[in-house]
Amino acid sequence: MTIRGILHELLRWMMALLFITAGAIKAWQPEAFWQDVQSYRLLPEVLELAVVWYLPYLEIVCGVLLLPKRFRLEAALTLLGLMLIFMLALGISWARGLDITCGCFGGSGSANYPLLIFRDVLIAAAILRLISGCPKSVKANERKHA
Amino acid sequence: MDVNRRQYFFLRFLTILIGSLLLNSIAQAGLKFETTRLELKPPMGALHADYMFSFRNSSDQKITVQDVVSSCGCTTAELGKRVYQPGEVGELKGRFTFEGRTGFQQKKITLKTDDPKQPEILLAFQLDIPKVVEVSPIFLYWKLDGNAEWKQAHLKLAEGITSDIPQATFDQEAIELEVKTVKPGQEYELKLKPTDLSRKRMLSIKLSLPLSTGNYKEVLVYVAVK
Amino acid sequence: MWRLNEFSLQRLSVILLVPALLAAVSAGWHPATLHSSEWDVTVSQIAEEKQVLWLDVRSEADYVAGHVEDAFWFNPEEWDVQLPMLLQLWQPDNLVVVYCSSNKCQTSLEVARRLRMEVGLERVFYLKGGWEELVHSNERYGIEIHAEVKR
Repeated sequence: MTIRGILHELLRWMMALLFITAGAIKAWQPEAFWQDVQSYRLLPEVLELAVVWYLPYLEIVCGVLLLPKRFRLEAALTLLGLMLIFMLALGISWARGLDITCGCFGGSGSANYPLLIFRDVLIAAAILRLISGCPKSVKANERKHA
Repeated sequence: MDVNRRQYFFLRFLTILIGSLLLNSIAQAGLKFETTRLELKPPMGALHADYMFSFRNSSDQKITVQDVVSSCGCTTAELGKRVYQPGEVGELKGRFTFEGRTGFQQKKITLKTDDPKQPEILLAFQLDIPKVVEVSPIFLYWKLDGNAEWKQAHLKLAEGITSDIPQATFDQEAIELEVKTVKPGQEYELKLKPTDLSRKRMLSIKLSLPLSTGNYKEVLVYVAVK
Repeated sequence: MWRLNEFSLQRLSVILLVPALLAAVSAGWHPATLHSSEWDVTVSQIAEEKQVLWLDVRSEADYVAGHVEDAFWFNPEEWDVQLPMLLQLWQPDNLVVVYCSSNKCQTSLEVARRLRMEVGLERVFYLKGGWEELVHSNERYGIEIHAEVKR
């Protein structure tokens, strides 16, 4: 395997680990995640609850499916879509001047929007890189099985 | 630079950046606490509860704790020392004195440090101070010019503790009160009503219970005409 | 670059459906974890109420900086001292609304619980969104706030 190939694999595993961990933390503490979702004040309560239950498992499943070849492209596309939604939500909260962290217990300070958005842009860029690395093998497989 | 080389450098840059971001988020904790919330369980009849938070300086810099502030004068908080070298462990200990409080309590302690990534650390502990005596409800009211009906409050002692029939101190011209034994030493019922519902009033009944532990427990029941 | 064909759509469906199944199982495992509407009220619901007794359970400094007009500052750490004062204020027609800084603060729910369960007051709720929600929507719902610094 070339160095480029190794780096690509490393990036894929890091992304998988990132989303599996993020999803697991949210799934483990749905109450805390619900408070985070509520602080964005974007959705009615029913949809907030749907997001609280669904999103963590979507992250976990997509993170896991980044690893085998078969589902890689679709998992990466889904994660890219998620990142775009996260960035949009952050942007809207920033524009509305919301303080999306509290600091009552365990947290401190206000949300650092530029840093949060920069982090999400970075992750989205990494996913795009993974997507651009996907099709050659997947398309070849599909042609083979079509 | 051809396309492949550009992609290679971009990939390398991205991997390093994401890797350092991940590492940074793990390493940035500074003073890392085993837990920032404690659940204390004091024994029945205790007058205070002690707590301890353990932590470690997981950064690569020396950290100085500049101040330790508790949310209440009833809570002490002490650190063995203020300066923690990288890797050093420490303990924040203290005592919460009940001062007659009962039921669910939650207290906060704030540590202020010179770590720019973590200038303030919020710690909390909570506990349920076992009630020696539970009165339910502790507030009874009657509507102004309404019916002078009898209302009940139930008094129950915690397991393992008994009391003779409570002594009640109250304005006997304003309130009619009967104390009945439901379970000797353990449960009592208060039946009461105001004598005059034609004016607004706020009254209280002080119940003194001689406990089997040898001391007295006082409980207030509030009575109102509104 | 890449095209979504039927294989891709099948895989995408799996990716979207499997989490839904997991979520359904998890939600069944943690029944009623999240929903607490028997304890909360929203700002819009309060707007319809005529007799609201507001309890501010934030720090004294926050209260002084800004609070709902006529809100009673209630320090749960001084429960035994403050309760009689609160009971003096309370009227039978009151809707008691307890608020703290935001949704992330648990104090308002805890105070609301104690007032209902221990004291026996009916119609006690905590405000969903807390002070943060109030400053954003008070004008829309006609709730007067006394604020030195309005966001």
